Amino acid sequence: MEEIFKCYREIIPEFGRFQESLHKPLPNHIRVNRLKAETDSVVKSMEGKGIHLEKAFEKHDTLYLAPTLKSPGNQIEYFLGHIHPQALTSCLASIVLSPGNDSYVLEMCAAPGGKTSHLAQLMNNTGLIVANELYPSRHIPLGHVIERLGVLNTVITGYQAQEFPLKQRFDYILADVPCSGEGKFRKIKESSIYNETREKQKLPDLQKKIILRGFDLLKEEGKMLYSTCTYNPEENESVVSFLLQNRDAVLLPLDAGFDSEAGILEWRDEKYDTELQKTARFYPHRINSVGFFMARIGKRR
Amino acid sequence: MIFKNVPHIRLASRLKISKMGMRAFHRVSSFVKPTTKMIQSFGQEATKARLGINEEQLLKLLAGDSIPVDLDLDDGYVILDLEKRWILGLGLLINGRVRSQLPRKELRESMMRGLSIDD
Repeated sequence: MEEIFKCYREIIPEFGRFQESLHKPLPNHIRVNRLKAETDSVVKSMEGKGIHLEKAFEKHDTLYLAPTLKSPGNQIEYFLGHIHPQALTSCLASIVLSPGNDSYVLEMCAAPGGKTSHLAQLMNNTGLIVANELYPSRHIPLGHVIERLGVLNTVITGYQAQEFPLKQRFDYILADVPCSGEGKFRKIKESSIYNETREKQKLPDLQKKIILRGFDLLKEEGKMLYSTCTYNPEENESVVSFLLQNRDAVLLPLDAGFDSEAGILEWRDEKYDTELQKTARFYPHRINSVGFFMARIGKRR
Repeated sequence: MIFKNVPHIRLASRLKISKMGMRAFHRVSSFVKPTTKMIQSFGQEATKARLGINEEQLLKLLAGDSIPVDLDLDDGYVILDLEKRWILGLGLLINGRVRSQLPRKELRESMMRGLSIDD
């Protein structure tokens, strides 16, 4: 079998199983939108149509694996805003950040809106979310998702994330940054090839600027979550390490409630602080979802 | 627009905002028409101008037909309530018949397949 992402052989546990998982299609997960519907009635309605749902997360009754559901967007529950198709690991980002009711929240790179609407759900539509997205063309789908899901506590802005105005400070910040997206790659067809482009090589610089700006926008007791859907340490641990070297930041314990690996401490010529072990790597063969990375960040006090 | 009035909005007003909250109404020539999303979110609270329909009637509406109704209402928008279970959006009542105002691209006949409304 062709080795995919073989450069990660040393850092990804059970590398053979990891590679096998890349030959399976991405599973369909759905999130029940509690802003508009009760979980039990949505599950009953969908199961009544013969759609098999498996609870994906014991602690949260809104996340389900729908193995036989081919197009969630073709369900009436989707039209009504009762469900939203969303990768499990993407849902975990909002859950780990866990903003309380009445919080002031910034999502730095918000489109297409799955995480924004999930944050609104976790906040029970209270407080205020600033959903920032640079590209105006992405404001349209972002706005549609927010409206379909009945979100009433969100405004959309269009700043470059790394230059978001320093006029105010936030209780919670989600920096789910642009990344190479390796975690979403599946080799379903023979023609599926993961392409390394020149644009992707520029990502770590951008990610470092965004994480610094995010940190500078935090209140003293605020919490930030940095996340990507890539395995690349240069976009993950290196970026977080850069923050620790340049700001008075601390990494906070992170328990997503799922099988994850601690962040790595060494990559190529670079060595990272042992603090980086508090970050979390999620792999598709362990969690049956998109590969993901998260770091929970606070200010040193 | 519908938006929750929260203290943070004073802070956010210092930002350049491109959109806020949920759009509640559209202007259609000289009329004001509620949006489907607003009706889906708040239609449950309406005490009049609600029309209960069944799956068969909905399929007719989605096919572009009008359905006869016996309601003591003035002509205008009515809230379409599928089997007293789901608020779908709006219909337009004119001379005792209702036509769909539901978004055709978003609500399709194929979405009705396998519905078990009697559950």
